Amino acid sequence: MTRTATEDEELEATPEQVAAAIKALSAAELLRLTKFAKFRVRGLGHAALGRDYQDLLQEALMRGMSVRRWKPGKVDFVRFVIGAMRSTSNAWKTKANRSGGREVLCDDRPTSENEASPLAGAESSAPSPDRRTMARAQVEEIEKRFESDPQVSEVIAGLAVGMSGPEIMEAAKMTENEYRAAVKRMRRAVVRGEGS
Amino acid sequence: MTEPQRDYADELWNLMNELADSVLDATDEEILEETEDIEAAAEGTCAVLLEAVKAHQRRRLQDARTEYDQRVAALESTRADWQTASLDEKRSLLAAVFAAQPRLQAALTAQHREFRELSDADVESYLKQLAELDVMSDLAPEDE
Repeated sequence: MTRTATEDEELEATPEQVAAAIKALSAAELLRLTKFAKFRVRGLGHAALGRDYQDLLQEALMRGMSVRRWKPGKVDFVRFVIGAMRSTSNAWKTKANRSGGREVLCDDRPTSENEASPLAGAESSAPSPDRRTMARAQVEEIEKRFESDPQVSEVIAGLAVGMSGPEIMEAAKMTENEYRAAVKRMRRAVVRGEGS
Repeated sequence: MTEPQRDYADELWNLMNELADSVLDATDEEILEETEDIEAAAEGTCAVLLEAVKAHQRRRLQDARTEYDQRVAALESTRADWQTASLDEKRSLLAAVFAAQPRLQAALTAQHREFRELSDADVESYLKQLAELDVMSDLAPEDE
């Protein structure tokens, strides 16, 4: 059955255009995507269920191509992938939270039936207290690393209770530059800690 | 008084998301400085993304094949007695015939831009014409 493409569909990139956009990315753009993916997956902690940053990159792009679609003339490609990773990792966290104590990773990634995922059916048998302990160890490690840096400590304390950047700046009487510099110090230390 | 219990999983989530967002504000030079093996890391991510595109294409082909098989199966089950079928079934039947042989749709529905614009009477009329032409007995897709 043939049908007329809508104006939106005409703007949507074909897989060939997406592939061309990927090949045209600079090293800095590719590394920006990599780092964003790594931090998002690290933030998931145990809720990642063994998935790594490459899984996030791949699933986010596949979902993005199936659901939202990239419109080359309207949205920058890096921003499109970042947005897809944000919504995919949010979905992973929500799903993990709903599953409660025992989590089963149903492989809902959009792959072909011939591609058996090594993660399919993987089950986390760790009870909730262990997961809390792992997250606690990571948070405390970061807190300890910056205990002699009052500005980073303020940022960590604010984020811990769900404050936004502007709220932390106001509460800690920090300028935007000081806030950004503190976050950058934290980012670099965490990146160094994981061997980039 | 006891302090409220901290939710470390949420704290970790908030912390790492702020660091992820800070990557978006960083300059290219900063991003490159923070990476040990730039070339290998960039190539690795490029390969992962290109593989995602290929997997997406394979999935689309598979979905198209599945949809085609379902349409053919539906057509097989209803073509014998299409005249007694419901309006929805007739519409599905016509869609299946057009999917299998797109040139027939172009020939019969030139004045309609979209299949869904066809009225029930149009659907009935086209099915009659196709039955008279004995088109529905041959469901093989057209060669491109």
